[in-house]
Amino acid sequence: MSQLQNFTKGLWRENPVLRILLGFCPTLAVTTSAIDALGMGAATTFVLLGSNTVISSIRKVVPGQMRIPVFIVVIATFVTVVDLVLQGYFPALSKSLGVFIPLIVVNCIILGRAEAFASKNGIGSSIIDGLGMGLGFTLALFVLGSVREVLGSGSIFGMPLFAADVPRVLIFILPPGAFMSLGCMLWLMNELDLRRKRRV
Amino acid sequence: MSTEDPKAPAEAPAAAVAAPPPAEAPPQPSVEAAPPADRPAEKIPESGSVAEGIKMVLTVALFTLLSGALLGFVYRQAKPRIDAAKLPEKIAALANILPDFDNAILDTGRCADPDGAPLGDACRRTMYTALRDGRPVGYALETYTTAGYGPRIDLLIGCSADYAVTGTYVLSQQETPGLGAKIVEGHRDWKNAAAVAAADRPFILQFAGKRLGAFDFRVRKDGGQVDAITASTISSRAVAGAIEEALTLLRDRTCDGEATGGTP
Repeated sequence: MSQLQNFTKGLWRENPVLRILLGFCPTLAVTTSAIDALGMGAATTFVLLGSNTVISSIRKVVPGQMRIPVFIVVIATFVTVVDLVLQGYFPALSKSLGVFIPLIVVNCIILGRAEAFASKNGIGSSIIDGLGMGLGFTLALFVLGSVREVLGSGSIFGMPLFAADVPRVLIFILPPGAFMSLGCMLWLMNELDLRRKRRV
Repeated sequence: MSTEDPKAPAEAPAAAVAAPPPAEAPPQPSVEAAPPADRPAEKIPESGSVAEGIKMVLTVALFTLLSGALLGFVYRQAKPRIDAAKLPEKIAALANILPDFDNAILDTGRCADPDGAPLGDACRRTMYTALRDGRPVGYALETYTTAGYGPRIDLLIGCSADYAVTGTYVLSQQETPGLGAKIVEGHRDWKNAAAVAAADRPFILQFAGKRLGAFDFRVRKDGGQVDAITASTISSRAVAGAIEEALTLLRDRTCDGEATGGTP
């Protein structure tokens, strides 16, 4: 597999949210607006990049039975760094993402990549894998967040799109709207995939 | 959220150190006996020797140590910024929960702990004096309670110069979303609290104008006059108790012994 394929697999073919169906908790919870979705995606990408790099470089040192505790320590360290930096430099984002930043520790995508990829591959490939997977996660969150913000709040990045008297579909920024939007995205993704396969 | 707690980063390594198994290495589980060929890291030792066990413990200990050191460093770098980032919110909150004042209120901060600690990291409750034309018009107390459902609720409580509640702002809380977290509802609306109809008034605004002695700061369930949030008696009781405690502390600190509005 070329490094280009290694990078793009996270964006589409093995998109962690839309194809592997991991990391639904932040995907559903923080996509009420495009900016929150981007912030969450960026924070997760940073953690994924850091954990993949470190775990790949220590993979020959850590005894096999002890790898999961060590991976969790590495991931938790990066998450705490992100939490502290957000609190200090992006207080508004930190407040709106709230408890979901510490919860990146238990995001299955991160431990999944550590276990399935970084612990078996070299540092270079692992960095590219982390970047691709992180951007794929961010992309999925961003699309979902934009759809929900446009339909639910009638704005994008906080800028209003319609006149104030145009009714908003409030349900899209509430939890049921998250499930419905994500369901539609998964359906779209499967449909595109089926058509591509039929053509081939 | 409220990770200003200095011990928070130190806790992670401590908890993780507990993870390694006891030094006498466990027998090799059969599932691990056949590692995938492409996993070079997984060299299963022939027998669970003591040396292998010690190596495992030391590896995890080393990584938690490195992690702790890194987090300590990042925390020390970020702490001044984190504190500075909280200031605008605090200034806006003070203006909202106190009668109109014209002094630089943050400069009037004094430690109000019962044990008389000086202002600084050890101080848990800070009081502020609001002045207009040099005369005190109100007092505010930055305090907290651990009686809630979550670990800690940080509050900013304001009262007039005659100790009637003029506002309460929730600086941080981790109560249950949808239930106890409703204590924050309306906590920015003190300036038009009177305009909100009693029927749909948020929990926190019911304290507007309440005084010690004239109002029983216990929830109705305990025989008091506070209308608790439905299904969130613990959070409601904690906030009401903190307000009562703050009023007592502010009264004792400004009436007895010290000159009213003592700080210039």
